[in-house]
Amino acid sequence: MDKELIEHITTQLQNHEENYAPGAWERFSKKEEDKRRGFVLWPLWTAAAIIFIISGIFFIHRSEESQQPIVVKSKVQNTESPIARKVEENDHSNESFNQVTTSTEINQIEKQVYIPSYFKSLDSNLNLHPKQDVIAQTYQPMEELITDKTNDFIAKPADIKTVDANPVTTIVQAEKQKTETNKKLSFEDLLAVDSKVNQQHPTHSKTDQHSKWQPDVYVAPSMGNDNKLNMNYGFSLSYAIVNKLSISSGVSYASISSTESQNAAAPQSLSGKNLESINAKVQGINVPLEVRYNISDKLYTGIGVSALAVLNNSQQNTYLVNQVQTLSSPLANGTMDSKSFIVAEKQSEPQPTSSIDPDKYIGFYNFSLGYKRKISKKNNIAIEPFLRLPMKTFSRENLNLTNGGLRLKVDF
Amino acid sequence: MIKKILRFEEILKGCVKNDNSCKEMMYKSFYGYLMGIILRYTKNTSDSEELVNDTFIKIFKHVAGFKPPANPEELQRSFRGWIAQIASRTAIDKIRSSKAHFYVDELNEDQHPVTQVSIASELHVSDIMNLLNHLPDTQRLVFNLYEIEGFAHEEISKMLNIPESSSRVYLTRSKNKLRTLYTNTLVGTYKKNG
Repeated sequence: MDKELIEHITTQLQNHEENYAPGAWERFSKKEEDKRRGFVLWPLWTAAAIIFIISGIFFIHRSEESQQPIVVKSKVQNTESPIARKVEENDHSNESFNQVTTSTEINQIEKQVYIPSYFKSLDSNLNLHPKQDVIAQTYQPMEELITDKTNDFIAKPADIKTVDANPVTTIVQAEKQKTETNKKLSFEDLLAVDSKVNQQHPTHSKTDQHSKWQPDVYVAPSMGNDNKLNMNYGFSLSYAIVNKLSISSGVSYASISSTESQNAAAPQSLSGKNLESINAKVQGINVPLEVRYNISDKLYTGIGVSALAVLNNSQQNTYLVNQVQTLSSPLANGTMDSKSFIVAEKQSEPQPTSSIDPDKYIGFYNFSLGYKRKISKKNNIAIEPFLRLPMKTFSRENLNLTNGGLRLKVDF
Repeated sequence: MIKKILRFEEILKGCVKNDNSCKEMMYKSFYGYLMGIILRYTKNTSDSEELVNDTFIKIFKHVAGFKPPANPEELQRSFRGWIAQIASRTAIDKIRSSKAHFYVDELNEDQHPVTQVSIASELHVSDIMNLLNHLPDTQRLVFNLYEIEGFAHEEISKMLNIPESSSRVYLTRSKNKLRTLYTNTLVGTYKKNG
């Protein structure tokens, strides 16, 4: 039967299905996996960020605390200074009063009697009352004294009143000026005291930083992309080039592990085996060279390179292999029904040494951030999150040896 | 590990739960179907797998939103329809993004009378694809959407952002072109054979 062309095309195409292209799912799932892997690494980054934030908060908190004593110190100085000022005030006002009294030509004996009572009232009122009150009150006893004790000496008390009224105000004014100058003096004293303290401090810290060399030992648990914990132990020596910058080197035992998943599917043929994943472990002696910058006296950051001399390198390969399993079961009619299944199984075997990466040295870039704390006069303890990035991928399976961890350091 | 052959409903449920082996089964069982659809839109085969994968990403992402029909027997058919729609939209999006706008040439109704062309023998799909590949992009797209996917001209005009009348014209042209192409190749083969 002839069919109309378009109709034929339509039905043909509607019913058409392409064949499954082998490996398409693997390519697809690998893409998905890559996306997810980026996601999986996030916990590591967030952990690093959390450590950083916590140490930051801790550092800020600490620096605030260390600022507080300075505030307290100045308060103490302030509370002390009025006493000194008062004493000085008395001295000065004594002098001024002497001048006034001599100018008013009052008897020496009267002066002696008068002075204590006058200053009692003056001291108690100076800070509390405005100028006018002080004048009035200080004036009062003076007048009384003068009228009581010098009746015979001074003929006209009214005259003295007028004479005295002005000197008293000048006394108060003079005293006010004096107290201001006293204040200045005491503040300068305070500065002097402060600078003395400061002078003492540098000498103290100089003795601390006496040596430019600083040795330390550390233990560093680290983790690669296989989420296995490896321990690193080491010794390092740093030399302070300038105040903030130091260079450090050392030697450490390092252990790094890595895994690489190939997203293999079960092999198509019965005897075939597909490489599913590789676990590698590299142990060696790591020699770092690092430049360290002290952000503050507590916080520092380091950047550098290191070379790892490989001592031991082992690789474990996991394969997917097909195996035939036969299952027999008796049927009701007396015959045996046997079924064969092809079972995909995982099989692990160490990689032959011949095909292991022959590289004897692996280079790394190191980044670290440290927080230092004093535990005794000489000793510091430091927490240092670090990240080690390999300069190139390792072995022919392109193993990624990137790893990070936390260094716990003790200086001595 | 023994892989059970799951029923389609179970695979669908597994995909909703983001089960990887179910997703694999889904992928493998519908890859060919979707590839068939995608290939109608693209000439470039390297792009086609990418488009199929894009389609699957969308399917897996939105599989929970797929509403199964009331009649369970129609489940697979309705699912096929659903994923076919996703695939064709994905392909159209791709074509749209690669070209800022469709080249709309001057359209006037064809003067040539539409002649019915009947086929003498069964045409194989690869021959059909070959014919389709000779069509201009827009004609091919409209032909696809109207004749095979079953969209109405109104929907096509919205999808491609062209007037409805243009859609009609493109369809007529594509049909005519296919007919001429077919007759020519047929004549060609006859000539070759004879």
